[in-house]
Amino acid sequence: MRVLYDHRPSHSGHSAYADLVLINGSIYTGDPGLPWCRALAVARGRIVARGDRSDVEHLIGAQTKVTDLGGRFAMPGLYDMHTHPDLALAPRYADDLDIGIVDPTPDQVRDAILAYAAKHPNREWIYGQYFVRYTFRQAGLVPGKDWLDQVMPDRPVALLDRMWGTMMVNSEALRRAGITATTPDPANGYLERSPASGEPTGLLIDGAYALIHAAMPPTPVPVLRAAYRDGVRYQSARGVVSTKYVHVCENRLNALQSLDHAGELTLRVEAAISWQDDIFPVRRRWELLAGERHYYRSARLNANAVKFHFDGTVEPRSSYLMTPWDGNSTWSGKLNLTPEHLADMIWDMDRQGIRVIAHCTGDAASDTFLDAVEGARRRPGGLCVRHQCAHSTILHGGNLKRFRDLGVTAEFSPVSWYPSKFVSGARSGYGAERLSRAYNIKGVLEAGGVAVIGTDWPVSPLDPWIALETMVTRANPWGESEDRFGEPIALPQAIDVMTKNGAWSMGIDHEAGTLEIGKSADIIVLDRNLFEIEPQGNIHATKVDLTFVQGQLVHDRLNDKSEAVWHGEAPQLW
Amino acid sequence: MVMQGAAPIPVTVIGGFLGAGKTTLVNHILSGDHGLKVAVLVNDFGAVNIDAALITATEGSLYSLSNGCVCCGLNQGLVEQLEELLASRPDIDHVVIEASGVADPARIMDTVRYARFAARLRADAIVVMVDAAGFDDAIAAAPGLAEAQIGSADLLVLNKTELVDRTALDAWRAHWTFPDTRIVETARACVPFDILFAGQISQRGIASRFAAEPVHEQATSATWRHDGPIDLNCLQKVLAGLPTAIYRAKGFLRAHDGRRFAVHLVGTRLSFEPMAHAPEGLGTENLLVLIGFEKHPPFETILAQLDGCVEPAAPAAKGHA
Repeated sequence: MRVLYDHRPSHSGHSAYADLVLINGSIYTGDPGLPWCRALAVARGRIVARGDRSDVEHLIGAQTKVTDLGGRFAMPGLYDMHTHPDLALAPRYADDLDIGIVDPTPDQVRDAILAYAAKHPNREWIYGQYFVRYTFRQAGLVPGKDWLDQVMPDRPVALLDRMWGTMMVNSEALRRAGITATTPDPANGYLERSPASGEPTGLLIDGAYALIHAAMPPTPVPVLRAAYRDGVRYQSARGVVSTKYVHVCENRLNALQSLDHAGELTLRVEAAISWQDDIFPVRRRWELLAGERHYYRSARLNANAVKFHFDGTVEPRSSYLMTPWDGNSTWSGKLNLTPEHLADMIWDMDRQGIRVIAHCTGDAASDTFLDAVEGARRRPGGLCVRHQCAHSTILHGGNLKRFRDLGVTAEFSPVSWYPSKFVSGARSGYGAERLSRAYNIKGVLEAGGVAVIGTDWPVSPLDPWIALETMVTRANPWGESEDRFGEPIALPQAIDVMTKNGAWSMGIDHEAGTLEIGKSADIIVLDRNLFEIEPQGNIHATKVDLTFVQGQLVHDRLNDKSEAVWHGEAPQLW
Repeated sequence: MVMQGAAPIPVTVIGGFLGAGKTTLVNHILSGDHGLKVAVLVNDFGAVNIDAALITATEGSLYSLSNGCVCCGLNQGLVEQLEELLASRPDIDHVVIEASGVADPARIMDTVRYARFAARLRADAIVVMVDAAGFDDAIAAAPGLAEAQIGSADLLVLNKTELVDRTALDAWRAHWTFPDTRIVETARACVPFDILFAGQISQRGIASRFAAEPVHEQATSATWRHDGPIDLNCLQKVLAGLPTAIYRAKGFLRAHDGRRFAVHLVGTRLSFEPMAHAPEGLGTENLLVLIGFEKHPPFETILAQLDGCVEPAAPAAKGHA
């Protein structure tokens, strides 16, 4: 079967030789039929021969690039199936106002606004951080539009407070957002109002920010492009060959496409369009889902997925659980969307070949999601898309086998399956019993299901090697805690989770994920043999010397003269 | 009577760093003789020292006490817990929420003020406890948080005053007192109930209680009455600029356009709550009780300023025959 990135004009001749040959390696293929080999040959992005040097020698021609691995360990490239480099990095490039003082006085806030306005005369909005209430109180001033109008009467200004709970805006910002005394408060926030007149004071709380954000220009494509570029560069340097950027809008797709056109999209990206506007607005959601998404399609990029938030998280106790959060209450969390909404949506997306990626932290959330997929599988017209249960923090034992039966991917985010300060604090909200069965990767695998990982950066680091180590150890990689919880899995299983299972969850397992003849040459070369080291404290520190995607050398750590797209160590991003 | 029953329930959030005395204050309220049915949502139920003999009933997570108070741990989403409380105990007079020591209490009050609670809950005050002996440690441990807590306070309670001398207390006040700050100094978190709840007068809509004398010996009060219509913007300015010796104000008034409001001022927080009718038994169009504490506030000046907010009488009824 031909696929898009395979396409060549039919009249072009094929060379009889390989484009690339790797020799003298200790190559783990992930293929049970031949788990290990010493040499691989690659032509037109695909593996064409494997075995010993003698098995590939006849494919070495004058144009063949021969790389001697010098005995190094190589394996299939990694799959990070849920992450958000744009959310972490875009603020860095947005060049918003950052006052940069711990406790700015009102005078310092004013001076910073004026300096920023002078430096950015063409910038429509002055947006940034931050002011602190107590310095205003110290000065006997009240933050709000009256104060801000004196500083900047004619350009819209929006400034967050230090705790990110309050936004101060001026009258011009209120005018552009259409906010007046008659504007109702949103469900999850409010407008501070004058007690006498009901007029907004220019302080907006929590969900009321959205009224201002909706009036502001969206994050521009160049900012998002720069953010994604850093993320892609990092992921390639850490051996990731395929990823899912979960939550995109039209600007994000344009940014990714721009990287693709520049030859800098050095891994496959499945981009999931946001179903809700809770992180950023998606102005062309329905056009994208109806077909506009195809304009972004390439060998490296597709937008055939949607992402939504089905329940909440552990800290505000909004995960949707099958039993109450604790014995003193009936509270068991709640869903953000009705089960009926979900059932119709999944069926409709399935008919269009669009993957649904559902944020489900609580066991009742994933239960409802699986029910909806089951319902969709019974309705006519479905394409049996491999939908994805994101996070899968707490799963009900009775649901483990349904991942296999329904063809749903169980995706786990590694941030808290190993003990750390974060786990002992926030995550302990689930309680000891639930925590002991949290992130039940082993349970899903034993029931025949497909488990994958997503780093979910910025929630946990973008580095996939932390996930690989801690799946095997369930221990803290840096020795910060003696605790362990949850069931570890064996290294070959963990490698499967991060390679071929990822390929399955992207629907490309027939052509990628293992190093087999005919499959895509997505190969990483490491500085250590994962099978010969003590996992704890070592796997996460693995360095990736070379990353090949579709036969193309995209990352070279040691030789900055090579033809790789990126050279050197992974950039420090956090 | 319908209006009185439907008036929103005032909510106090108690904030402050770990060890500042929040739980002591909660115990003081739960065991206190204030005559109010106070529902207290505590951050750490285990830390609250409820005498088992005082518990008259338990229903789910809600403990009823013999003095009319109820208490429960904050063990779910605040929004849902408040909904549950409003549904199960509509007779409550006042809600007190104890914030965690690492929380910004303003964020909790933000939730109380969400639109879904409008007309059911009213943000009364953020009371922030400060450990007079340990504040330096708190500010060193988490400067942003300690400052945020102080910055969000409508009333500051400077607690554990018995552990430090007057010079240190004055130095603290000199550094942390803002132009509008109201500070109550306490030992063992004994905040007068007049300050927390405005005594019995905070009971919902019961105008007759206005005659009641404040019970705390240190409190002083003055009552302003007038029958003319009020210029709301003028009144807002006067109330926002009250001297810091005034801790509370409460009353009812009629604006020049005929709208009626209940007025609540606690420290720096002022709210006007629309009312359909004047409360029964008021005997006047406008009534405002001002409560001071510690120092004698310049009541006469304030009463004169309030008089200045009465709109001049409309020219004698020209339209009338």
